[in-house]
Amino acid sequence: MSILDSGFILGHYNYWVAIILIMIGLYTMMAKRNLIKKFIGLNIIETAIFLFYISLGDVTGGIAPIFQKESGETVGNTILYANPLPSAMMLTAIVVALCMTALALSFAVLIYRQYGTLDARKLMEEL
Amino acid sequence: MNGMFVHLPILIIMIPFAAAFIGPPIGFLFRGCIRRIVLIALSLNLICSILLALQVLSSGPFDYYLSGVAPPLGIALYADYLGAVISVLISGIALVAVSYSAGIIPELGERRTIFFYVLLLLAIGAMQGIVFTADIFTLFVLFEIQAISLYGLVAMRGDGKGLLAGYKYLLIGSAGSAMILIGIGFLYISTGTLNMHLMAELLPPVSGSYTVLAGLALLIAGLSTKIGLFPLHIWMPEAYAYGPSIFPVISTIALKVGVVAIIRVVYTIFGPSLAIQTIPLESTLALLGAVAIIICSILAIRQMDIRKMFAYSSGANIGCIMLGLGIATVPGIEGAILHMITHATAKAGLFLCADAFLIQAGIRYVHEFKGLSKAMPYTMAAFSIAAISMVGLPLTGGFMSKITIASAAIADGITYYAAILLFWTLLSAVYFYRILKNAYFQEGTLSSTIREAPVRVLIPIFIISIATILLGFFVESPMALIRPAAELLLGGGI
Repeated sequence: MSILDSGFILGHYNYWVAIILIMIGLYTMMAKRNLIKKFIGLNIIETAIFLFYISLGDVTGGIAPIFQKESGETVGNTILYANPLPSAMMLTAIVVALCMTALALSFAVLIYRQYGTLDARKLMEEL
Repeated sequence: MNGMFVHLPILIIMIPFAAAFIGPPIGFLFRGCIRRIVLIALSLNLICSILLALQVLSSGPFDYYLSGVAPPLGIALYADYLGAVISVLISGIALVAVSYSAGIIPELGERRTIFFYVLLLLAIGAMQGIVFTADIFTLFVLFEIQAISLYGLVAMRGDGKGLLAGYKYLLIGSAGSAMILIGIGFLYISTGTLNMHLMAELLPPVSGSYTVLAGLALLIAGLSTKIGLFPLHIWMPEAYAYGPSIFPVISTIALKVGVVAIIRVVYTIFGPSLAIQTIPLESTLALLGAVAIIICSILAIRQMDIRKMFAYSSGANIGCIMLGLGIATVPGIEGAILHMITHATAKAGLFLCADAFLIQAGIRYVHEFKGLSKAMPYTMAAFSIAAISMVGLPLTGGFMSKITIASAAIADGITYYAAILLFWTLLSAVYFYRILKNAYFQEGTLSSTIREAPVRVLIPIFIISIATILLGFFVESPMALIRPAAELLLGGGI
């Protein structure tokens, strides 16, 4: 299937959403001058990555991996269920991202107390 | 293999982590006790690392499955030659750095000293994990533990500049982590596994796809922020200049650990044949390294603050290691691994001496060194040995590793890289010679109150200097581990 085919583009919309969000985040990190806004950009990137991973684990017609019987489509005798591994990985990554955010915000508070501004361009002159 | 040795890889990782958790309660109960806990933990760690290195040397690499579950389901550690040699390097340099620093670090005060040592232990534990892990997601998590500890360490002094340097490091580093995470995702969708060795088996059929290529590119770009490869080195000067006293030494070994991760991605996961087919290593990694060498050296020459100067010099040395890896022959990789060891040793010596100068004499700019050799002869001698090794003059470790990489470049027919290495020797001689000239051949206007550093400080500095010289003479003993490491990496990954 060609990359320019409309079916290909629409069929992979989850990846497009992730890519667009990552680009927005990167732009925010580079263009915004406020230190907290820069970090919000990074949070957007991280959220996009979580979305990307979780959409990886999805199986069409699959059910949540904790349910063993009753519902869900079957192929032969096997119940289709979503891949739990990407979600489990993202639990760890969310914790990591939260740590980063907490650390960055505490740095930002301390920097504001010292310099009275969060403008990256003014602050980098101090360095 | 008897029972105790099997568990060495996990012991090496868990000892620093365990010490980091029991450190604060004991440290707050008994004054100044935290440094002793750190010293005991790191000594145990060094003993375990050496035992593991001997074990790997005698009976070859082995796997360790966490809670006994084998790879497709469980997480594996892989103790190979590369991991063993870098593990000894990490715990050795960390032990020397901690035995250099004081029970209560004066610039931090008592409470912050405890937190400083806890973060240091967490960073060391994470580094030991990175060199042994065989699971790429564990690699990411450990990198984050290491990175968060290092961001905290940079800003530990709590003054404005330290915080700003920490924030800059944090922004660049976490953007790098995000890239590593996307890269892992791309490799995971292509192969369906996170274990490096299984990935290496499953990659060849899909290696040409854009997903895999993008994954590789993102992983290398992300890891480049961690090791400060040239365009992404911008966090290093400020972090080194405004971090607390032994932070640059810890950061130096953290850079080497990042290089190990790049080796794992390029040579273990992709394997040499695939890596050379899909990414022309000579024109990518080696070229990036060559550019880093030249530009970082020029930036170092322009810099008058010695800590910033050494930071740029680290950038150039990382370039040299990348150049060795990019040559992708056994001597090239041997040279790169040997340069990790010699550079870490010499750079640790430089930073410990620079720290002693700052504490004893308040000196941190090149022009202030005039006449210092008379006031602090022993520290200055150790500094000179480390500087000579950094420049790469014979009879020091730095010469052995540079000559190995340069001769590998010549043997592979890419003589211009060897020329760049020689030119770099000249450039680094320029910036180290300035300091030595001021210290030895210029009459100083230093105040007469400057005293030689105390013996407690001189002993670790001398240990590092002796190690630097010994590496120049007895290079065969680390090479016993490095040679099979390079052969293993080029012999099809596993």
